[in-house]
Amino acid sequence: MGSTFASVYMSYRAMSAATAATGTVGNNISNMNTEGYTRQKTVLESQTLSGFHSRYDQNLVSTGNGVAATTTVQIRDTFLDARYRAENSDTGRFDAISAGLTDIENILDEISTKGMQNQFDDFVNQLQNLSQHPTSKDIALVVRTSAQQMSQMLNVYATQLAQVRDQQAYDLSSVTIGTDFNSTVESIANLNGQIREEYLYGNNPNELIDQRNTLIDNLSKMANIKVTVTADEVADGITLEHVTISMYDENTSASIGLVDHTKANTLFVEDNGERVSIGMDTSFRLPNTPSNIDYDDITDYFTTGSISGYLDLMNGKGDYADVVGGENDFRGIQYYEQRLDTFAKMFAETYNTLNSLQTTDATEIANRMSTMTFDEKLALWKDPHTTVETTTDAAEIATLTGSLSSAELDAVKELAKDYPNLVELNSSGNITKMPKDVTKMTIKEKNLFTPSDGSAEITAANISISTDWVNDSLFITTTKDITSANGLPTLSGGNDNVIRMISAVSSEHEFHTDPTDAKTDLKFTGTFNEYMISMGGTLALDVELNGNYLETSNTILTSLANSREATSGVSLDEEASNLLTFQSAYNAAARYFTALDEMIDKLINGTGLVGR
Amino acid sequence: MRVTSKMMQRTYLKNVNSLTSGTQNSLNQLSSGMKLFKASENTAAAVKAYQVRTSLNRNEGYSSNLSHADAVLTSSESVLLGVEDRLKEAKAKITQALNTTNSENERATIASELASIQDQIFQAMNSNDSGFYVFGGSNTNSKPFGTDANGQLTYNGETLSTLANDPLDPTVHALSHDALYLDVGLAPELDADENVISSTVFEYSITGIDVMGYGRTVVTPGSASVTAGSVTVSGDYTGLDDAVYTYKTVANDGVATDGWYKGTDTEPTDLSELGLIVTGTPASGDTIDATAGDVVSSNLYDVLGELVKELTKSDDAGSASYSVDRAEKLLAVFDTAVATVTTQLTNIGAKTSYIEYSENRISTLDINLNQKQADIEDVNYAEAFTTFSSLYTSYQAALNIGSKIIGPSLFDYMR
Repeated sequence: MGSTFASVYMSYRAMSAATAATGTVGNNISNMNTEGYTRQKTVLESQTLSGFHSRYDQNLVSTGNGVAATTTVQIRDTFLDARYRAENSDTGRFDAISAGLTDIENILDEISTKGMQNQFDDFVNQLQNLSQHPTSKDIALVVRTSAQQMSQMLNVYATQLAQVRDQQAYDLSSVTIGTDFNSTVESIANLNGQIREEYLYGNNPNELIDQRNTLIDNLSKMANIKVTVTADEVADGITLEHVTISMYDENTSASIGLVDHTKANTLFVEDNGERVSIGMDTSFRLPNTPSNIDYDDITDYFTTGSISGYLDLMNGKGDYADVVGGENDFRGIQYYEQRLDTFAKMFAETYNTLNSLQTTDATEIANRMSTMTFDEKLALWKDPHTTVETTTDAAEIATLTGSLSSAELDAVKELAKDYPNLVELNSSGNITKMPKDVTKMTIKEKNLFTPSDGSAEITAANISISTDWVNDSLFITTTKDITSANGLPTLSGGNDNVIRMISAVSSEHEFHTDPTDAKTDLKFTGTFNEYMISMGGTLALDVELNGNYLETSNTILTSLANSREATSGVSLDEEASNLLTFQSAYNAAARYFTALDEMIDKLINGTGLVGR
Repeated sequence: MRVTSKMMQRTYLKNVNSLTSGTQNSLNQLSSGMKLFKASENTAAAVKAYQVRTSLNRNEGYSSNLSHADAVLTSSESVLLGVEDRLKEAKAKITQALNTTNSENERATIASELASIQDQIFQAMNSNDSGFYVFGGSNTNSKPFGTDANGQLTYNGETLSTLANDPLDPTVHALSHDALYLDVGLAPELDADENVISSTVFEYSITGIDVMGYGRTVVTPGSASVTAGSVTVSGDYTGLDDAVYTYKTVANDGVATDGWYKGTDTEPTDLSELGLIVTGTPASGDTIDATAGDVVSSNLYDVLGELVKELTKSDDAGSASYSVDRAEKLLAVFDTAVATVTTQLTNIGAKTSYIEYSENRISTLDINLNQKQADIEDVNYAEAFTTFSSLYTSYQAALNIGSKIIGPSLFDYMR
């Protein structure tokens, strides 16, 4: 038979296992609301007699040797983790985009506020009033005020968009990357080291693993990360996990390492005012990282996560992006800035041209053209308000081209592509038609709108009414019939030019990337109002769409979080029943010990006293 | 599946949050009366709302233009009605004066009355309505009518009697078409020369030249006699002076030109412009001796002036004495001129009824647009309140069960 006290030790082991299991239950209950806590379970193993049998041993009935609590494990599903983190990246991205677009919408939306469209309508109605009283200084003043409010509103829009961009840039560089992201990767690297040490000491660092998982979850909200676990053989027969976190590009299968066991790569943000790029300070390089990678600009590797959302918002140029040149074509802040700039420029250009006088006087035209540079002449020919006479006479063409340099000649030939009304070439590339005379031109000296900062181009940020107009409200040209061909008297009370200005409101305009250059891409054709409506509509659709994405993504995320909770969460009912089970086990083991005690007592005190 | 209390709590919170935001949105709608707060809530509706708002704003401008045009036309009409009354009075006076029994003195009295009517008409046509002269075309800043050195009526600086009788004459055309235009919702368009196409705008002014008339009328034709040659001259000589035209060659700037020259003129005269038709082949040295006819200015003011002059003539001053015959002829010219005023009054009537039609059209459009705007932007209270009630009921129910979710577990039943 077995030794006398073997069973006592079995009972002790049973009680101690039950205590350990009860402790785990307690730990689970205590942490039921702890963020990132994973339900633990004490692993109980039955013990058998093993080892060296005495050669003199008799064959015994094997009773087993009780139980032992060998370890405490976490109940966790790594596949769910991966899915959760992928979805978390999407949520992070849509969250950032949605918030940013809502900021833009708050500036540009006009449903519950009076904005640009309202102001434009006001401008039109003031022009209608001016057409009733074209010589009234007071009404001209009201028109000017309305125009001024419109240009100021554009200025405000531009400033507010710039503020949104600044805010986004700050959030990205100082908060998301500067604080959250970099500290997270460094903490994960630190934890990796601690966890390995604990393992080496033979401990079970479940709580540290929970901490690491929480940090990785946080990281997944910011970027498209991939977690890989491989095995390191630290000593003969002892392998321990080696955690690598990388950003993975699905298209090129290239990975950029973020954490490699105890090493972390941190990010930094470069902002040149237009484009925001992200670079990396590297302390290691993964084997599958392409060798030609430019660590100073890894911007394009961010495809999901809040960082990619910020980047799209700040770098996205929408239609205006040079996609071939690698520019971001998301409709972000720059897209709306550009659309406002186009509007401002088109508006200013249209009304400046209408306000300018035109001349058909040959001497006047000759005088003005004599002081023009070649480039200015080209621009004059291209101006739709200029009337150009062309010649197809070979001798005249020869005379005209004779005075041009070869670069100038090429520039003239270049016109044949987009301006066949001006220049035509034959199959051998020689000029067969070209401009000869200008018979009508606009004298662009009466600008209603000018850039306030002295730059050459009008933008939404710098559009303002001209000093001339500020000084004289009637600087606005109300009639162009001032000088008439048949020597009629000056009739200054005409309103024909005001009607022209009103007509420009209801007529369609071609909005090119650069509104003054018809050669650039055509982005929109329609009236000023339609342009604003289309811009507001695009923005609203984008907000709606990204809001829906966010909602969908959030729903999936919640369901994944519930799935994780179903596996790893603490259920009080379950813990209570475990508690009951282990308490009973403890009680039973104690009762068993009592039985053993009685048996031994019998053996010691009640044995060999026959007849006493 | 294991269901933990945390899962129940999370789902509960998510649902309660969505109920709260729904309730809040519904409350916002009810308290503000607005259906939309951001375009992104319903992009299609928002785009429509923007379009409707713009149309409403535009209509405001059109209405304002129409009432301005109406005011100007009403003021023009009342001035012209006054002028017409004065003209009726003038006509009666003239008829009275033509009665042969009138003495020189009686005629002079009537003449002075006519002169005062002439002056009143002149003042009326220069009338100013809240800062602008209604009959001046695009000249709204200064009085359109005046008189030149000879006392002839001028319009915007042009002496009306010197203008051709032809409405297509460039100057006449320019003056009578130099009007004021307004955009009343016909979408103004420009032609190739960037001039406003007049059919796309509303012309609301009556030009003074169209009211008063222009050019000259022949009362008695002149005559012309030919000396030598085979030339025949026919037609009325309507030139204002007597003259002798000689056929000769004059070298001017080294270019020799054959033609009829008046006196020492260096430029030939186009006789056809004077109403003389020359047939046959003139020879150098042929002369035409023209005698001026009696030609008067056709416009109302000048004709009245001419009548005043005629009536004040004495009975026995030889060739310069009063002629009933001439006065009667002048009356005929006067009648023609009066007819133009009546025509313009009809013209104003036509324009006013167009304005009425347009105002009706715009107000109907406004009603429709307002209805449309209400449909898009305003809350349907019945619907919104029903939504709110059902949301609020759900919200209360959710709160009610909330306390039960984080309720009992097995622990509550362990002794």
